[in-house]
Amino acid sequence: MDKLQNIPSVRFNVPDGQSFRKSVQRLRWFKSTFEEQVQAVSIRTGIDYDTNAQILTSCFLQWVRAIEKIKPSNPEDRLAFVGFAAGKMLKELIVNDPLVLNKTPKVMDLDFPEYFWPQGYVYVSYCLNVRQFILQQDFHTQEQNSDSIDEIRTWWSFKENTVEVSDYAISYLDLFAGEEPNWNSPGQFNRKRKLEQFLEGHDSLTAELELPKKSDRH
Amino acid sequence: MQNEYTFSAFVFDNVVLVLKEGLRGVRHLSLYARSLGLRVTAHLPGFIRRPTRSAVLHVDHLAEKVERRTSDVVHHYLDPEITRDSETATFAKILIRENAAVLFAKTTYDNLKITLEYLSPTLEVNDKFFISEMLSACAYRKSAAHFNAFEKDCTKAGFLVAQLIRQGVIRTRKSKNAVKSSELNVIQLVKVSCFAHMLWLVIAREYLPERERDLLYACCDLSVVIFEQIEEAGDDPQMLGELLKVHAEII
Repeated sequence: MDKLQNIPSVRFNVPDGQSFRKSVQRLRWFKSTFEEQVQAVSIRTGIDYDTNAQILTSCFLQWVRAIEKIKPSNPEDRLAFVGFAAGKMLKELIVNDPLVLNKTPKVMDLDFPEYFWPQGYVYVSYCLNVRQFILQQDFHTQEQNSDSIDEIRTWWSFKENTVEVSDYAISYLDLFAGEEPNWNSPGQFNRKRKLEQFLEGHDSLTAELELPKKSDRH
Repeated sequence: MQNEYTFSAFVFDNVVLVLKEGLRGVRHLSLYARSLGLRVTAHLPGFIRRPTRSAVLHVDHLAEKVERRTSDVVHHYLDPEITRDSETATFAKILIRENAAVLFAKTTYDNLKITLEYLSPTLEVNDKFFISEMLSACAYRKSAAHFNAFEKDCTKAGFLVAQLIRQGVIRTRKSKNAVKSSELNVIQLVKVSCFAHMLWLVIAREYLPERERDLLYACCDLSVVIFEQIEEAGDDPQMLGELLKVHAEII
């Protein structure tokens, strides 16, 4: 089974001539794409959600203000920043929790992440899909989600740890995306570390960004 | 600046707007009378209650028909351009129109109805609120008198937020704290609605009917979230304009 299909995927539309990472910084796109993700999860799981529009808007506003302060000015850092920004969004969604369960199926097997934490599952699905789409559309690269996205034990620790330290949402999203997470200072964007992680296994990008290859860097 | 008070604008203000406003006033009162009448009849004995209730509903129904028919005539014959243009109005387009005040007033009336319904879904907006198109036109003219050709559009929009609130374009019979949505009291509701409406006018728009309404809802949501900043800005047009500018860029 294609790992990318582990979470319900969504086909995002982007206005002509606009990069996806720019579109996702607009409330209108954020709201509509988030609702599409909710629908996709709803269809798969049989769970109906209600979205509190104002809490969702608040999530967005806090996220956009946070990344505006820290987004790198160097274009070479944009690629590395994508995953971090997606993790920041996951953090805001978990902390603010705009979704409420409206209707649930009679039987919910709690050994499945989507039933163990229905809201968290939507948030993770959305952030992974957005992360993936930006990488594909704007940077012409792709990630493979890791198996941990299906492991219920990982979700137990994910939920418990993000309640205590919300910045761990950033680390867990990296984990789910198949990247090595930063557990020490998850709230800090470490450009060099992120870029190196990313470029391992993405050698074509090394050439595209005209960066020295790993063997030449030290 | 295309804001001379032309003869057509004069006729419009003194005939059309007065007519529309008068009809809406009658309708608003009839709705109030209906709700009051229905509350009273609920306490009457059954043999009186039924015919009395029927009479109340019949009178209200007549008032509604008169208002709708006359409004249709007004919209169709006296201001078809305004009705058409209000659907795609942006602040930039309004500023360069000859009859800017009337276009602004129509757009304001339509939008404030939507914003009030969205922000206070448990209230019957027609029953509880009266939105004045005439005062909206007044607010525009008073603001425009202060517009400077070199001023940014968002500062001008900031003038208008303050004027809409100051003119009291949204009126209610309820006391200021009595009508509550889940989050906002009446004063807050009025400020948020006026700000959201102006935000919608200054953002980049898509001109698709279903998207326009979604955008207005997004403006409402954002205005609620930043309400403390709107309060802090008070009626300072520069501060309100800056808020509009900053947030228009992320809608």
